[in-house]
Amino acid sequence: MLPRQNRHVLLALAALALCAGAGVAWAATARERSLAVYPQQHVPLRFDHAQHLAAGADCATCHDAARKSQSARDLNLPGHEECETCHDIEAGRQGKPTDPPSNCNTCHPGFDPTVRKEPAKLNMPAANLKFSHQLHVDKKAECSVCHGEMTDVKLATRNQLPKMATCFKCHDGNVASNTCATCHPTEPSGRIRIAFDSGLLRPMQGNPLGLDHGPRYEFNHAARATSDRLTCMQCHSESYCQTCHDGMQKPLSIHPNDYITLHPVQARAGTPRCKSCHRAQSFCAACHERVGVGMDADRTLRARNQKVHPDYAAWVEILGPQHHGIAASRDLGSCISCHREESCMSCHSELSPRRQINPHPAGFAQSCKKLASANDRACLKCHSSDSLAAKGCR
Amino acid sequence: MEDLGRPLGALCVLGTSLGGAASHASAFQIEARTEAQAYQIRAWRGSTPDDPVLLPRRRIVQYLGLNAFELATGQDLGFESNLRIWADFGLPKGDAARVDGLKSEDAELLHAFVRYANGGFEGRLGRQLYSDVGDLIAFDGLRVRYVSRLGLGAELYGGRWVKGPATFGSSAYQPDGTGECDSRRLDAGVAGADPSLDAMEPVVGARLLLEGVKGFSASAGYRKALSDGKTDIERATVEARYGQGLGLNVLAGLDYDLLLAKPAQARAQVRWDATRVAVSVEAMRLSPVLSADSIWYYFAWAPRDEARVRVDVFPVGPLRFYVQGLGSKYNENVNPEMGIAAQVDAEGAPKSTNVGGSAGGAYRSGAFRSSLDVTYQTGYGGDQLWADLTGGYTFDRERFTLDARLSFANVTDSFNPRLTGNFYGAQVWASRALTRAARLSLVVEQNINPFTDSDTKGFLLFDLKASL
Repeated sequence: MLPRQNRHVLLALAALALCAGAGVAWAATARERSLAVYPQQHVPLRFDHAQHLAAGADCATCHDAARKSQSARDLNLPGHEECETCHDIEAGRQGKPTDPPSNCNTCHPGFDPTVRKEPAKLNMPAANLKFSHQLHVDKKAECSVCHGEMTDVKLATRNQLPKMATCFKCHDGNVASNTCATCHPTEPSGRIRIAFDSGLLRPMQGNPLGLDHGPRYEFNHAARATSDRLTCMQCHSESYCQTCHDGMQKPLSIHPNDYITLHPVQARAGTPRCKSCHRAQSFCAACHERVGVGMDADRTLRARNQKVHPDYAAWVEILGPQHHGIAASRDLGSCISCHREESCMSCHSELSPRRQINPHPAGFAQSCKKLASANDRACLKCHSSDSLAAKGCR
Repeated sequence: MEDLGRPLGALCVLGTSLGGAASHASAFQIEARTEAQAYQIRAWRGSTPDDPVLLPRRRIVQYLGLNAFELATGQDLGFESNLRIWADFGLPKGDAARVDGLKSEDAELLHAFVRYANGGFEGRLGRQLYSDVGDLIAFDGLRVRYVSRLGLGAELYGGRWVKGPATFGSSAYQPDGTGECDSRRLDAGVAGADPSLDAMEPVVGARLLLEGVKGFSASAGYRKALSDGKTDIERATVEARYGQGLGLNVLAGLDYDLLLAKPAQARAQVRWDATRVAVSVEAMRLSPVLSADSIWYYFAWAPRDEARVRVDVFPVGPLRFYVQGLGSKYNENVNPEMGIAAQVDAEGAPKSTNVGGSAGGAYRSGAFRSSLDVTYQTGYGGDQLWADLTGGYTFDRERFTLDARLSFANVTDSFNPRLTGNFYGAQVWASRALTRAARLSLVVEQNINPFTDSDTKGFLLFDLKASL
């Protein structure tokens, strides 16, 4: 038993971590676009799109380069040259009054050219996308379709870059392609690149394809993966799936700490899921026989055997509510993770000298002939050939 | 292990050949991963003080993946493979020979296939995975698939089911219910021991496909596997799916056992996705996929029915939450002529249901990530309360990551009263990129509980991923 003092220390640590995590989480700022697609920006500028639009500027006045841009790497931001269409920057530098105002501080807050040579640098990493503004302009897509109405926006940031749901308004497979590789960069394998310096690309909340990889997706992906395998394969290779499904390293995100000790109670509640990675008669039974849980181990290992079932009489002899037949009927998967066939055959085989309890469901005799004609190997483990014939199963 | 030399040599020759044939557009990639694990689990059910260690693990695992893409310029022609070689030095000598399914070292080819795709056609030749609503299998063979522009298509596959005893084989995808190989029981003269268990198992299958027609996709499939000339698995599947982005998404599938003439697996999921919330309801009927060679395939067991309702909430920002309700019904199929038939619902019988729920949240912001999950289930098998808190931080643009996990569990095993109490665990995972291609990780896990008192596990991982 854990010493009381250690327990208190662990509990205190857990509580501290919980509070710290929750505190940081709640204090966090809103950020809903994927950092893998749109890396974090640093835009030390003062700008008011609404004011400029109200003054009669349109998008092309400042972002004319976007018309010919064919790559997401193009910034398409106005430089001094574009600003000088209206702002007399030179006059502003000399401290002369201008209308509109044109001194450095107008756009570069806090910048004093007498103190520093240059204003703070802009950091606007390119979006990790394949994108051509020119193609979209040629298709007559209005700027606001992707970037939203700017009439109430001051400084534009990554929040004015389109989310995937916006793209899918046109990229629906009919008007424009809706394959992942249309917009997302790919690996040499043709799969979508998911690892970027700025983060890991993963389907996010409200993913327009319904692919949202939310919390505990490890436990929920089966429905999608079994019926829509090719979509998964757009990003994941066989090796990725096998990391868990045929892995030897405990998947740290799936099995919590101390799972070897704790797994029995969870396995009974989730045996079908265990089977997606562990073969009961190989992985489970082999380990159980080694550690003394399986009763069919080699004789030299049986000395380790320990009782895990209820009292033997209640479990085997007495035809009562604790009889193993009820548990076996409800959860055979748990039985076969410890027992080999001979465990059951010792009482359920017609050839057993001990007992010959019929384990078949009601009505089995009507279908036995069809089953035995397809494969009688299992039949012959418990029945003689003559016996099968006598029962009408031949 | 002595058999490794020749196949490894062949791989090298293959690699060299591929390299020699490469055009300038080809891409070659090597993926390697080294896992080292060291821990030991001590007895928790009264083993003698002289023999307290039950599971001594000293395992080293080496993965090697060789991939090549666009082997012909402009053509989607490639090769992908993943080989695993491992040894467990903690396993006492002789234990592996005494336990079916236990090995102290092995070499396993997880997959190795050539792939070609063009338009709606895709073909794969070699060892590959295949999944549908019924199962996840691995086979050595050929799979071809064609879907026309109208969305109609077909898929055919066939080959040899990958089984544990085969050279470079793995048992993870082998039909369950029998030992991997009966050599030990045959040697011991056990009645019913089956000399055909490790026989080659041909598998063939086909599917008719309807893909992406106004958001609707469907398939109807058939699969049959023969073991030593007799039917091992014979299944028919039907799957359907509807979804056009946000809004309604529906998945449904049925796996029908043609041999037993009854449904084996069924699954239906309805999900409503909105920008800020998603609600999903899932119902499943689940059965173990057993080989017809197994006596258990013919026993009076019943499938399990499960239902799950889940609500995900995505407020603007880095936080998201979910709450989920779970319910399972453990059906039984006891022959009414048996004496226990009247006892299935009697007082003292195991519960036939298991219900519970979980709730949690996840947070991601920049370099920081964290999640908290709490789960409670009660009913068949026992009661269990789990709380799991994880957190991690990425330093210096993924060059160094540090993650931690704290777990708490309170369980009451209804079958084994000694497995009851509070369990505490902590884990720290540090990972350092040595170069852009190589990463070294160290995981340390410390557990404290009433059975083992305490145990420490260590995992050392080395990953290498390089493009040539």
